[in-house]
Amino acid sequence: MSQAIRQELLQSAAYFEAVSSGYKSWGKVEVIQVAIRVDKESYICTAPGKALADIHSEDLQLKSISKSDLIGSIFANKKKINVILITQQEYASQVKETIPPILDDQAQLLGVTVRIAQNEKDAIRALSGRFAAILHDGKSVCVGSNLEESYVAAQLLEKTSKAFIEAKFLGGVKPINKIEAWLMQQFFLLKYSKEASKNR
Amino acid sequence: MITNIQQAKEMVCAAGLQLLKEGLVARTWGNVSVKVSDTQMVITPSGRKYDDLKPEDMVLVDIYTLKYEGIKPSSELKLHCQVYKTRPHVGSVIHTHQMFASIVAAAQRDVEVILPEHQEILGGKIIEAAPYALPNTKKITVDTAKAIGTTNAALMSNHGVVCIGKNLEDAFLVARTLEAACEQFILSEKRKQSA
Repeated sequence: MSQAIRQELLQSAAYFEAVSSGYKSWGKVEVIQVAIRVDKESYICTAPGKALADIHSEDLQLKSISKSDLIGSIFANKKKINVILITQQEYASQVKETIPPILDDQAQLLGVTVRIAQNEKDAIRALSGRFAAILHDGKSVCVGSNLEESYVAAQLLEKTSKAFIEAKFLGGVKPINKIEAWLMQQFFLLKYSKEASKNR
Repeated sequence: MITNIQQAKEMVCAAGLQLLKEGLVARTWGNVSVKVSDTQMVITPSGRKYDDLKPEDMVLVDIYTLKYEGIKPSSELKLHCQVYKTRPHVGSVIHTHQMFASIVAAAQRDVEVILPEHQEILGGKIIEAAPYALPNTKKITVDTAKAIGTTNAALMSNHGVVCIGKNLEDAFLVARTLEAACEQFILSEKRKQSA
C-alpha cells in the first residue's frame, strides 16, 4: 500500500496538470504540498518547499499522525479524509473574511462557509464540517477522500473566492440562506455524490 | 431537430465532454439535452462524470410525463422539459456553472449585455437572473423558464446559467457568448467604480 501511495504522490503533479485545463477561467491554483494517509497512524507527504514536478522518491516523507503539525492534526481529526493539499491560490489568497454560501456548488462540496484560520492550530476549527479553509499566511488547505476530490475542492475554493471578490464590483454577493446551504451539502454528501457509482 | 435517437445520444455524450473541456462545468455539474421529437428529449444522466460516460448512458425522457428509459436522468430534467414546452422551437438546452456568469449570479444581478453582437446571439439587451431557489424544485423550474422569456439564456441566482438554441451548436454559442458578455459587464461595472 505504501508503495502505491508513493507512486501516486510522484505522479500527482502530472495528474494536476492533466486535469487543470477544465478550470482555466477559475483562477490559478498551485499545489505546493500533498499528503496521503497510509493508515490510522501514518501518512506520506511531499517535501514542503519543493516544486511538486521536481519531487523524487527521496523527497517523500513517511510521518506519524500526531497533533504536533498541521497535516497530522487534520488526519487525526478527520477520519474520512485521506488526502490533504496545501495550495497557493490567486484569489483565495486575497480573501480576508469568511465567505458566506454564495454558490450552490460551493455549499455542496466545500461546506456552508469558507473560513479563515487565524493560525495553524485554528485550521482544525476552520475545517470543521468543511473541505477547504484559507490559512492565516494566505495559503489554503483542501481535503478529500482521494486526490481528485481534494483537487476539485481546491479549484472550487478558487472559483468561490473569485466570485466573492469580483462580485463586490456588482454591489456584493447575495448569500444563500445558511440552512438551505447546509441541506444542500447533506444531500450532496449522502446522495448525489454516490450516484457516480450507483447510477449505472 | 435531431430525430435519430442514437445520433442524439452520441451528440449529447460528446457535448458533455465539450462542456468540461471548455471550462463551462466541472466534475458532474451541469447537464445537456437535445429534443428528438415534439414529446421527447435525450439528456445526460444524474451524478455521472462526463469523462466516464458512453452514448448508451444518455437518457431518453418524455417531456410531458417525465417518464424515462434506462438510468436516472439529470436532476434538472424538469427545467429542460419546461423550456421545451414553453419554447417549442428550441432544440437544445444546456445548464452550466461557468465562471463569469457565476460571479454575476452570486450578486443576483441581471446581465446588461453591452456589445451589439452579443445582444444578437443572446436575443436581448438584458439577460435576467431568476431568483434563488433550491435545485430541482418547481420554483427554480418555473422562475428560470420565466427569466429566459424571449431571450436565449438566463442566470440562476447563486447557481449557474441555462442556455438554449435551435440545436447544440447554437446552445454552446450562447453559453460562450454569455460568458464573454458577463466578463464585459463586470469590467464595465469596475470601470464605473474607479471613474
